[in-house]
Amino acid sequence: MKLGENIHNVFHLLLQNKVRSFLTMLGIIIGIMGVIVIISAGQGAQSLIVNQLKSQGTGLISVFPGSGDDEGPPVSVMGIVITTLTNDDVQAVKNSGRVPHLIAATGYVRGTETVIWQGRKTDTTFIGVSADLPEVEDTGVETGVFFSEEDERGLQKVAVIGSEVKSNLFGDQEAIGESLKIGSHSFRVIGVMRERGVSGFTSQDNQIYVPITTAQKLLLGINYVSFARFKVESDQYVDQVMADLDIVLAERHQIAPGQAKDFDIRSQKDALDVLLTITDAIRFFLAAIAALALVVGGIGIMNIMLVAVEERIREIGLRKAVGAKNRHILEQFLIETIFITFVAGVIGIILGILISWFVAVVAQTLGYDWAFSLSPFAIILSVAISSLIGLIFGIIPARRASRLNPITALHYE
Amino acid sequence: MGEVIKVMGLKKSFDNDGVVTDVLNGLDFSIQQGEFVAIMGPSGSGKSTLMHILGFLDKPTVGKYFFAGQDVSNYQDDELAEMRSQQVGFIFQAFNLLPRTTVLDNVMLPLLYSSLPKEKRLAQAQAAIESVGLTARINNLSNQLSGGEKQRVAIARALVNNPAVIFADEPTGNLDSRSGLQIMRILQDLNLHHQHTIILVTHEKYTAEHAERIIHMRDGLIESDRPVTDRQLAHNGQELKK
Repeated sequence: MKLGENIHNVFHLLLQNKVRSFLTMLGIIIGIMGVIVIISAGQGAQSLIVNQLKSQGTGLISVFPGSGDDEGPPVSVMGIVITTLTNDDVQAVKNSGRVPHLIAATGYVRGTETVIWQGRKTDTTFIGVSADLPEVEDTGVETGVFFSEEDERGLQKVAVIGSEVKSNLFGDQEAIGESLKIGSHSFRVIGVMRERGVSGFTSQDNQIYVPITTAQKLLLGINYVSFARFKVESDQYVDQVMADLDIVLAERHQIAPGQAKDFDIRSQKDALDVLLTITDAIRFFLAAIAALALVVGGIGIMNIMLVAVEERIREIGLRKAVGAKNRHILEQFLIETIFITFVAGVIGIILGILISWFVAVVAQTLGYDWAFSLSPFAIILSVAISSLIGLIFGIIPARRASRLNPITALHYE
Repeated sequence: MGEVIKVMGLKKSFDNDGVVTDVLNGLDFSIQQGEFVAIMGPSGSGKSTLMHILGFLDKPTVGKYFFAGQDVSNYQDDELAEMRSQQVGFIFQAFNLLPRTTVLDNVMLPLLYSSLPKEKRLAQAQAAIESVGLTARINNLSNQLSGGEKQRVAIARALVNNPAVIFADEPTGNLDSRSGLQIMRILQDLNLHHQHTIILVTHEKYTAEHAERIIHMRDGLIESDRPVTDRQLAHNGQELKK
């Protein structure tokens, strides 16, 4: 019996029993769809995070307090508070003149407070930074001005608010020159930031920037920074600046060569690598879970095929009586299972692509920098897995069918 | 006309979890090509088992089976399947057609396992369907047919590979007498005018008398083996002599 005829027969059979065929395939359809959507959406989400990092400008170096290993994320990211890095470190490095090609630097501290203006309240994040922030992050004010180094040194109570804070509190009214309360302290609004969109999962527009000194002393009561960022003139100097930073900081912290450092210098590329490592791991973990659905789907198919063999015992008996060899029957059932999983795989791929595309469109409509990407790897993988499932889970029913005794099968009621 | 079937000392016993049942206890007979033989006997006499062995669906435990002069006693599964595919056709009491499948596809089924090209298979199937007078229903689904028509499709299916021997196992058992008669007429016609060897298994005396020779079985042995003296002829009620 030829392959073409076998497939023709199977097709015929599937159409005869549409509901059952569909239900049989459902497990595989969902599994394949899941693998494709998860891998594609994972890539989208990854691109979102990575693009965000890239949008903060190139030539960025971050310094985190605490010693880190090269592979993992910085220790301080895990929520451990380390107090060894201070704003003085940042300023001293910047003003030392020993780090050429360094053009801007800022430390960061942050907190959450209720902000009040004329009885209107909003909960928002305030960030203490240096006057260099617009340069470091490639951003700037929409209206007004960003605070200056004098404001910083003088612990001025001035604030530059994000566009969302502006519209939440002030609506269409003028914000510049108004006085708002962060916690129990009054700040004068001197600028409104350009709209910046969403970073990670927080809006960069729902933030208030205040001088880092003011934030440390007045709002937080601390004298360390969470981390610092240094802007390099251009990408080619990143390595050199990192080395210089290392020397200057080690000197300031009186760390002898070879001794464990209490800071961790990372370029944006390092950060990207770490992020990619983490997000890749998450993606493949999720895809593995989706692949589990495929196995469950395969077991479903095996179950149905066993029932189908049971139902068609007389047919098998007849086929044997008219000359079918065991291998013909084995082929017939195996091809049937593989064909079912293949068709299910194709449907799953189409649905998976459609859903991935839909997710991307929705995310883009919501303003996320979300790239729609399809991984050929995901598609090939799922087709391979579904065909393999057809083969593996088809063998047991097909063998059972092929080994039936023709006489018993013919007279089976 | 030569000897198409010859058995010598044929025995068959079944082993059911250590309980051995002897079904055939030593049979010797031969059937000539072109003969129409009925095998009769009460249930349990071994007539179905004999048919299964003669039709290559089963193997003898002891004894020799020659088919067209060839010793097939020790054939293995695939060789037996080959014999079923090339040499014999079956007609069953329960018709055993594939449901929701056209008459044409049902008749073509045995040819799927042959090496014939598609056009040849189609031509043979059409010819077989025509010989049982069902050309008009060739594209009907099997479940749209009456019982008599179903059995005619089954006959066409048995004929389609041009077998040396046609086995009919209680072919009229599920039919009313009129349809049954029609089936017997076709079988007689195939035997008389197309020289097909037919082996009919039945427990009905009347049906068996359409054959020219009746082998009576009892307890796995041949009780009697004699020609039919007053043969029933289904062909338009006219007496036809061979």
